[in-house]
Amino acid sequence: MHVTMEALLYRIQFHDDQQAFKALYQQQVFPLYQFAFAFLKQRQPAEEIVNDVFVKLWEKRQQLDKIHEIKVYLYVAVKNAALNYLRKATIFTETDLDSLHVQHFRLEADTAQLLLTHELQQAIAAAIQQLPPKCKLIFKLVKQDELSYKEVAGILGISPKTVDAQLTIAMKKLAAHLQPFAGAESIKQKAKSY
Amino acid sequence: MKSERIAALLAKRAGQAATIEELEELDRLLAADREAAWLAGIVDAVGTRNEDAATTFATAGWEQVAGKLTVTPAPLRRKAAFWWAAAAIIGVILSAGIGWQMMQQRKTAPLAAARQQLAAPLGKTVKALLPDGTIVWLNAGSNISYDAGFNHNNRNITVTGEIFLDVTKNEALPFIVHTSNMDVHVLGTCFNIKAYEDDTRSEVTVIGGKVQVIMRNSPEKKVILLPHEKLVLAVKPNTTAAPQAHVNFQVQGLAGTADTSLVMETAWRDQKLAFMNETFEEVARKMERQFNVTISFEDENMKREILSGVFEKENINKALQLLQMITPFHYSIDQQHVYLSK
Repeated sequence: MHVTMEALLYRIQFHDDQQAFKALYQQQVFPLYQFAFAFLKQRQPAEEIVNDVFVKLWEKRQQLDKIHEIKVYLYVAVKNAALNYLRKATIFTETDLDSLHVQHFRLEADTAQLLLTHELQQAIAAAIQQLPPKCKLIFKLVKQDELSYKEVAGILGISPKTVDAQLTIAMKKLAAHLQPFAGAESIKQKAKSY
Repeated sequence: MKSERIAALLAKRAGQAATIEELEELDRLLAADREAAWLAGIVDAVGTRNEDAATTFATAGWEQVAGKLTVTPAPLRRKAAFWWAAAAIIGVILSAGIGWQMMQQRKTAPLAAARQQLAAPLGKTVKALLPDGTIVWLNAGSNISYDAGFNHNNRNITVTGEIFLDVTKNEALPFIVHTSNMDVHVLGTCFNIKAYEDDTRSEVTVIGGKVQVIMRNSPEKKVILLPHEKLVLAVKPNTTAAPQAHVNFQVQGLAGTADTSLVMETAWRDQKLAFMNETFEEVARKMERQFNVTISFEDENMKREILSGVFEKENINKALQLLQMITPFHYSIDQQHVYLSK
């Protein structure tokens, strides 16, 4: 059962529908939690911040139609709450996108589908780990959270062009890192298909 | 150069920013280069959502969030009126003696911190959502409370004043409404409670579904009410907690009106003031709550006049003018105080 975001938001705003709110929560909460974790590097405050954002959203449900891009709104709310938390916790540390901790994400390939060797899986993990933090975060938001350039730009407060440039860098680096495997693997796959 | 172009196009496609021409270009490039196609496949598969982890996280997280969603009641909106059309309705109207309520609150004082309270001030109607999804409307000057176990090991609420409930069905956890005089058991339906502390009678009105009413002072008396039945229980206001020797109640059918969608007992939810064969004194008490005023009769005989009528709740002046069409009287208003005379 897939309900569109618009339908969920309508039911939440005009019917006070908690089941619809639960569905929205379950669709969105995990990537938002990972996003909060990238800033906070601790599980508990990241969880609390994200849940708090949802509780506040429920309290504001009667104005939901005034929020134009709900996903961007949620990511920005999480980002602001996380930065506020850090400001209170660590007075002397400036946090910017370049010092984010993105290691946490399990950015691995769908191995079942691709029949990858163990060696290749490790190479993919290493290639992702090598990406600079900001580059990796953008790669994660686009690839895993399925956000558009425009949405990522809105969330991080940068231009869509920067998002494009960063993602292109990520793609190039990954491709370059995996290039040595390409010849052998593609031949193997060809052999399998006969 | 070709691999750079492929990387750029892969990035654009992932970011939902590629044009149709660019997508076609990418397809052509990948079709011509087996190695590049293989790499693109790998890169595309990287970052697939981990659905299991997401589901586990969301299930645990929702437990944390669900309990926090009902604290602020949302004000009643006219837009919500269509809820009624869809719902089978049970109205239960009860009224309560003040003494018992006060005693109960004192007895449970140590637990008071854990109790969740919802209240509608005089002159206001409030709509709110309970943790189990039940919707509650509170009429002016009403209050409900429930403990931390609500929706976990019980669905008990305590009421003073008048509320209407649209109860979420849950066979495992029966919904029980406690007032000073009775307990009302419901299994998933709509439900209206009136339990103002200064009224002389309790009423339970069923419009659709079924409820069981147990008299608090004589638990052996269990009354099952069917649709369009109303239970009226005589109570003395401002009595102490001393048990009443006998319970005086009767079950009657709902009075019919020309407009079948209008039920006198629940008209308050639609911002209507409705009364049928009620004394002027009773009507005045309703108006005091609805408009947050004090009404004084300068002629005692006026109090006993019997009135019937329905009107939209607009303002106290309009309401009094409409009442003047039913029975002749004069009125004057001094701030929040209304004086009625012949």
